[in-house]
Amino acid sequence: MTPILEVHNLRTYLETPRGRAWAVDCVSFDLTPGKTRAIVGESGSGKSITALSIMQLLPEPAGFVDSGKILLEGKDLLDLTWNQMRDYRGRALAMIFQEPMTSLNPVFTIGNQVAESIVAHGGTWSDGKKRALELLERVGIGQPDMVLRQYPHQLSGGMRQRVMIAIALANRPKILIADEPTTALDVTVQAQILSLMREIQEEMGMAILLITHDLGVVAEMADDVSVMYAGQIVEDAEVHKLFRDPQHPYTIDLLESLPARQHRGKDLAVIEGTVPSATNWPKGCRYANRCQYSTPECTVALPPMVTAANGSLARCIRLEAVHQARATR
Amino acid sequence: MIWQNIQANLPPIIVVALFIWVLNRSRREVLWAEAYRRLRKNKLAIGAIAVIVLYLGLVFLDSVSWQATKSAEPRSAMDALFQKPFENSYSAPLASVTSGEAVEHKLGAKHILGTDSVGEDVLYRVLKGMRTSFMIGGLSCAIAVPVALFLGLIAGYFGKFVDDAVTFLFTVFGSVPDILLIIATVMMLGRGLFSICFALGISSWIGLCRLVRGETLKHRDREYVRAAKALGVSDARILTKHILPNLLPSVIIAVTLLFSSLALYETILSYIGVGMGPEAGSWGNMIDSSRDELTRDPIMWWNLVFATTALLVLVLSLNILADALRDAIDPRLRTE
Amino acid sequence: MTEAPILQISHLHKVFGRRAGLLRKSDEKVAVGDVTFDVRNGQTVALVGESGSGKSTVGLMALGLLAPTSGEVHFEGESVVKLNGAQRLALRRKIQVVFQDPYGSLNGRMTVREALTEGMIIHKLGANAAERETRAEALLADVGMEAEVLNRYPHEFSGGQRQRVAIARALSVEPKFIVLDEPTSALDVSVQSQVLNLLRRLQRDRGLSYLFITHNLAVVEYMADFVCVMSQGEIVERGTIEDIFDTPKEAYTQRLLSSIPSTDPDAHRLHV
Repeated sequence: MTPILEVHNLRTYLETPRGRAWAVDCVSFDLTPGKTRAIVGESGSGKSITALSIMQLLPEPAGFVDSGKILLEGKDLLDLTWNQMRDYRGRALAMIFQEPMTSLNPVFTIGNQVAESIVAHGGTWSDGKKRALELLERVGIGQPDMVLRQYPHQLSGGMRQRVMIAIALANRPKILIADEPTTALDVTVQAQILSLMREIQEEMGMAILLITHDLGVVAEMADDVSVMYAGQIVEDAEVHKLFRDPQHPYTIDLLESLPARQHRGKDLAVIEGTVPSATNWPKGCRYANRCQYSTPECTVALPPMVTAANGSLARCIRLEAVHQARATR
Repeated sequence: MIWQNIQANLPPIIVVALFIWVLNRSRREVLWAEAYRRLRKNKLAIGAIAVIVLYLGLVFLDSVSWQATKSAEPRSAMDALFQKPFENSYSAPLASVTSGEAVEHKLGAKHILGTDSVGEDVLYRVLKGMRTSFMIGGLSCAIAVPVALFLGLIAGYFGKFVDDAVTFLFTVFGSVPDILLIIATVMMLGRGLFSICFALGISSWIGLCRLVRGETLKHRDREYVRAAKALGVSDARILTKHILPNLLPSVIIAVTLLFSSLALYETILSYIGVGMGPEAGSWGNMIDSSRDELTRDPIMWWNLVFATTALLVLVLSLNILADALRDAIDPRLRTE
Repeated sequence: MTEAPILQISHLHKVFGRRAGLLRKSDEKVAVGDVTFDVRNGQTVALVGESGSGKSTVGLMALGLLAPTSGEVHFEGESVVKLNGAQRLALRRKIQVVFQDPYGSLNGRMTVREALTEGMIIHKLGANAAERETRAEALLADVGMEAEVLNRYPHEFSGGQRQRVAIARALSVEPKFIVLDEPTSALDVSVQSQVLNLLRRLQRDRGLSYLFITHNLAVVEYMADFVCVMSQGEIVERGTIEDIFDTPKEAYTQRLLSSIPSTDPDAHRLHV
């Protein structure tokens, strides 16, 4: 299937008091209709800035897309004017955020806010109200006519996230960007929201870009995974391959540092050292200073994305050596 | 005699020494040093600080005085520098003769800002008014701030009936119009610096107290306070060593604004006749006296204009400083 | 086991809000209802539950920072609930706490030195400033930090470093028991593993007992000796790791376990 969204060599920087921080540096990936791609990374890896770059909702006035292409069905979103982009947002691209309380306006009713997303793209208010009811029903809210008249603070976190999804779906977007959609929720509620997202994807055939730090959510939801570290994608793999046969040393270390029953009584694997500063990325591999497999060669030049034996892409020049070292251990 | 003169000048010298000591100490504190660095980058703030320092310098000149002999009136350094012989009557700025009289008199000296009805130099009166404004602002703050801090902290921290009592107190005080409260207090205690400061003090602690109470409520349930309790830190120490330092940035900004509004208040009080006595040099008195000066022909505008300008520049500088402080004391540091 | 438990919690209740009054309806809410469990010396007991389950409230009551509406907390056989000033201070030395939020749990206006020595001064550990300084340096070394950070303020540290300082502060009074209230929930996975290793090592070296409050079941599986599952203020199920994770009996526990996303992409258990 042809991809609906292609991101090529995206570079985004933030102006900070300490200088220019290259939060996203040469990131490329694509989204396919009906499929979910997860971008997984730890805090500061640039995963959220990647999402905001696509939506062009970077923090003002500090964030700028420097270069790259974001092609939606072949049209570069970076060439659009502000007004054209606004039309794309909501209609073609929709986004939900981590904190459903702050993404809803506390002084308007739920019905008002769901209807508004329809009115904003050329519907009438009476249309909007009718559609709002359908949408709330669709996202699994019981008694939708009552919820329409309620205010955000009267709903639980899970209900608010359902409302956010309803708003995102209002104009049948082709792409849904979900930035840590379940991080603020309890696990039982998280499970409900995740299965709702999957259900809606099957029905509407949209592409989902899921931004998360939770490897469990990735395994549960994703078809393809991009692992981000220090502003770059370090591994790009099909989800089974990522968990069964990780290639990049960072992915390997990250998976091994997860606590689990089989590690009881033993120390967990740790990643020593710290992430380099975004205002001053090192020349070579950005994981080299923490990597147990690194050699001086790693710090010479930025490694390219290499196709590994299992077909995954990884930004590492020592894939073979890493593979052998792990096999003999 | 010399010893007595030194003794008489101790209070202003101690105040200045304390002020410099506090500023100097805070510069060594990392968090404040960072705030100073950010403040220095703000050109407007530097200008405002320069103005305030100039005012403070003049106030200090007017606060140190000496008596030549035991029976002589004490004269301040400002008197020695700026006092000029009285003329017969009004004279316009830089004029060489008096105006508003049937017979024009030649002036004995140059008066850059003119002279007033009794022939006193307006520049000198403007300068004398500074000390009054600063004394009123400073002393009223010295009464209001400790009360507000103490009541706000205990109300926010202990909650329950302590909070109920304090809230009741400032709701009652807050529902009496300020101006009536002040007039009543001044009438009761008699006019004079201390009674005015007392009146302003008891009417102006409410806003600050509300702020401190609210902030304390926010900090009370923060985990660092809980952790301190778990360590066995006493309530008094939690309030003074943990919560208060975290409130200081917002308190400093609020007090700067309070100070400027109190300096402004003095003028209003003098204007309605409950301010400092007519013999005290005060901008309020100057503005008050301009009431009939403005109806004369030619208009005697300089008293009003220069007193108002001096006041405006002070209040504006203080407000700019408060604004700059808000930016300099990084809000991120406060929330973290 | 014949040894008496270090912490005994029996029939603990906590009701928030106020009873109905003259002009007021009752806004009482039961946060904790009839919670009973023990922690044995050197053990880690996990209190697991979702938000609003009352697990943190139990933690605060175990610390003696919150008075229960009814019920008892015994630490080393002595009641924590009814204490006079001196006894309370003595208790503060034995039970410490580490909170979730590494940004909120350290005072932003205090240096690391002040944070680490405050408890020593209160409990008269270390004869003078120099001795306290040596102790503070040893504590930092113990949590894997350099002595030079003593003069720094919390905002200069990363989340993981702050959590290390918070742990060092808890250890500064040489407690026997630490309440860990979601100590790794705000941290990245790679930092979480460092902190968990540290907590385990400290437990081994110092013979500490932990009450581990968390919603993260993977961490529980790794760390805990005994698990209490809480829901709506009550313990719905308790048992060893094997009991709870392999043969959960209560419907709530089963639902909780089936909700955890597995890191095995073939598992796909999430169909609620």
